[in-house]
Amino acid sequence: MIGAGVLLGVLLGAFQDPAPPGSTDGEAAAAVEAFKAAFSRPEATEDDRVLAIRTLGQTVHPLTFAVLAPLMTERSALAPIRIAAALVLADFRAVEETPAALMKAYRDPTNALPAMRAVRIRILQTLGALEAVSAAGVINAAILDPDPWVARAAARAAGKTRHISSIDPLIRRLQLLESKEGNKAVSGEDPVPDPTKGKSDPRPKGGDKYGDGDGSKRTERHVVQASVQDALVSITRLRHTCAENWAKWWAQARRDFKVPK
Amino acid sequence: MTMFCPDEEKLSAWVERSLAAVDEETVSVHLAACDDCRRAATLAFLSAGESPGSLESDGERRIFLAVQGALAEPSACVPEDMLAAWLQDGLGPEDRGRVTEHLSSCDDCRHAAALTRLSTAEPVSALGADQEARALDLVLRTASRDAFFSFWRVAAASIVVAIAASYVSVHWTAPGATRPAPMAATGADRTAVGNFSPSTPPKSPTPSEKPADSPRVDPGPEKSTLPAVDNPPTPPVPAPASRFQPVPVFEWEGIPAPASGRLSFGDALRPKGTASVNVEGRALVVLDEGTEARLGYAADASALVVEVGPGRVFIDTAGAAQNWEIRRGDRSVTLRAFRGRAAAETDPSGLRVLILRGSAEVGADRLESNHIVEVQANSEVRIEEGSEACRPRAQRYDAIRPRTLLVFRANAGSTSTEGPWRFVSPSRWAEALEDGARLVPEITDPVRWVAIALDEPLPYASDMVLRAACGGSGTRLCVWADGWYREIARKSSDSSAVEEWPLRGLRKEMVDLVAGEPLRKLMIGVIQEGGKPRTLEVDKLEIRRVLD
Repeated sequence: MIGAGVLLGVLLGAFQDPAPPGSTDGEAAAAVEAFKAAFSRPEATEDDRVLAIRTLGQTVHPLTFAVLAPLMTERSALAPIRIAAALVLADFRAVEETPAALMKAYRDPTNALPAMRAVRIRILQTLGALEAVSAAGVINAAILDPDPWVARAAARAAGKTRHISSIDPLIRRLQLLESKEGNKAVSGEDPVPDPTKGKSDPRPKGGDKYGDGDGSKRTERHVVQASVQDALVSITRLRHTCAENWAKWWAQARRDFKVPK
Repeated sequence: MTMFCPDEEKLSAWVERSLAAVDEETVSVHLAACDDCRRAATLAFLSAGESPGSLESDGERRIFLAVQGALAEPSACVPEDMLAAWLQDGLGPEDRGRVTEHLSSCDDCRHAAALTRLSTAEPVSALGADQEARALDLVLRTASRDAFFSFWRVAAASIVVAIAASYVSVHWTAPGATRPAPMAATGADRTAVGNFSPSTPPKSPTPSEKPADSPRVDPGPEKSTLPAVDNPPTPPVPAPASRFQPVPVFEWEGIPAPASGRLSFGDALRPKGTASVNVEGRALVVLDEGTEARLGYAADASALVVEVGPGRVFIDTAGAAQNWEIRRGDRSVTLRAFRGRAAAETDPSGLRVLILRGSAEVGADRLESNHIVEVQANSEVRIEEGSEACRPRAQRYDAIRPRTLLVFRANAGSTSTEGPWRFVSPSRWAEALEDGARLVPEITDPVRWVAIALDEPLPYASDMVLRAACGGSGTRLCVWADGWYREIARKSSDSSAVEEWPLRGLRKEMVDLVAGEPLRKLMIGVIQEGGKPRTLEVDKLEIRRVLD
């Protein structure tokens, strides 16, 4: 029976796996056609469209990529559609243009709006999942983003891409977190969003709040510091206790430093 | 009727007949509808059957190579559903002619058809357990001998295994057989009226109840009329009672509770007023006043089946694409890839199906909302635009339909290994978790959790709401589902109050949860504000979809 089980395993694997990278042109074209039919149905709900994106994302092919990538910046696409597109592209490592498309979407003005913060974070997560070294520039800039949640996602992505250029912004962010800046309250009222209270964006607006004047103890340091530390350890395979020690070490080591494997 | 394919271990155990009765039934029902798994199960049987107990590695390799090569080629044989329809006179003249012609030249398909006919020649439900086992063995042995090393023969064998699945399925649904445990009734939302009887024996098949294929219609712009399907050239074979499998029912109103948590086609639903049935958390069937109906699942057509007696039945697919076979005696309309709402009604002149919302494929046509398919008394099929007729039906449905669709129910602090929902919940009282400190990074206070681990993942939909009966002193809570979370506030301090929270808005790392994400674990946490002890007790818990 073991033999039968092995045989079954092989056969079931062949039958049930989603189309692997390198799906044939025919499969990809069929997947795109099915996607168009489902996505553009007049009565399609947001969920229907997200599910159509998820289904299309199972066929990894330049043709399906060409349909998915524009969804991240499509003007009429709401955040869940963009998030779903960025989510499924995490499986598109085999398509060379994927990191570039994600970076383009990250920089797109429509994704710079506060309501699209989740899209930017999801794009950073996907870049990290793809270990996209070519995206180090975008990730490094995001590490210093004023939004702590974007910075947190960027730090995590930096820990996965492990590019040497990320060390500087990570240490800089850590220095900020250990200064008075780090006491900045993350959110005035709604740290864990409640959809019944409407949309909110915890990005600090206008006069920055320091300390815990609003009664909340959640600060940028709480949100970002551990992710930055983890990223530095992931890149360097070293541990230092504070920003000052990291900075001292980096001042000495940067000339000859190579990212260990 | 699980939607997910069983893993190879479970499928192997099914071949060996070593599964528990409930699991075996689930796999059997799945095999009846899934080509891939049936094929794999057939191959597993063949490889085990060559040298019972110890297939030599060389033999296994030969089988694998031969089958792998054969499976890579496209099939030119008749699909098994078409073969089944041919046997049951369910094909139009053109398709019937094509199948007959193919059978004249294909030994394998002829053999498969013969086996199918043999296996359905007498009522399976009349067989005793020993007879059934002998019949099963006979069919499978025949399949193994004849199907060896040939793809087409393997395909034939897969049909045989499907038949075997039907045998097993029918046996299990016989009175006294093992059945899933009934769901806990909430009483308040389930009335017990009508003449429904779970023990009603299956209705004997008559020639007039033979399943029919979808009506064949001209693709005219608004209206078309075609003669009904011609009589086939071969004598009709009565549709076996086993064609219709029971459907799991998650919730019902207006009819007595089905004892097994399932409705069989033999169960006539005759509510006194209106009634509704939640079919496996995937669809709603609503009976208008004075309606009689039956429900089942036809594996050969991969369709849910509703037989409409006098009256009107509404079908709501809750947004998913499904196949529905709507019948009235010898007339039927099959809605393929149906996504939306429909009304099916009968009158002395025939059967009418009105597409109230969404779209469906009917024969070669794709119908959008506000279209009517009518099968008249003379068997003519007519499709016409009908917004005037559809509007009042849509209003009527809106007036009598349930507003929510139950998709999951559990009792915290218990474990369920049977029935539609299988889960493990260690405690109904919130407890500290070893790895709970970083579950919700935004909340710095300690959190205690009531956890429920699901046996099968639940795909998230944005219209889901979580209902839970909560007690305890905590007022700040957190809903957590597979890493996505949201802080919530209890609205009532009454320990018996049922709270309801939308799942929309759950986030992880500030990224919203989107549709289709599989949820395997649900937790409700109570935040220990400032480290002060707060308690939470959760009793019943439900997830429902709120239908618009």
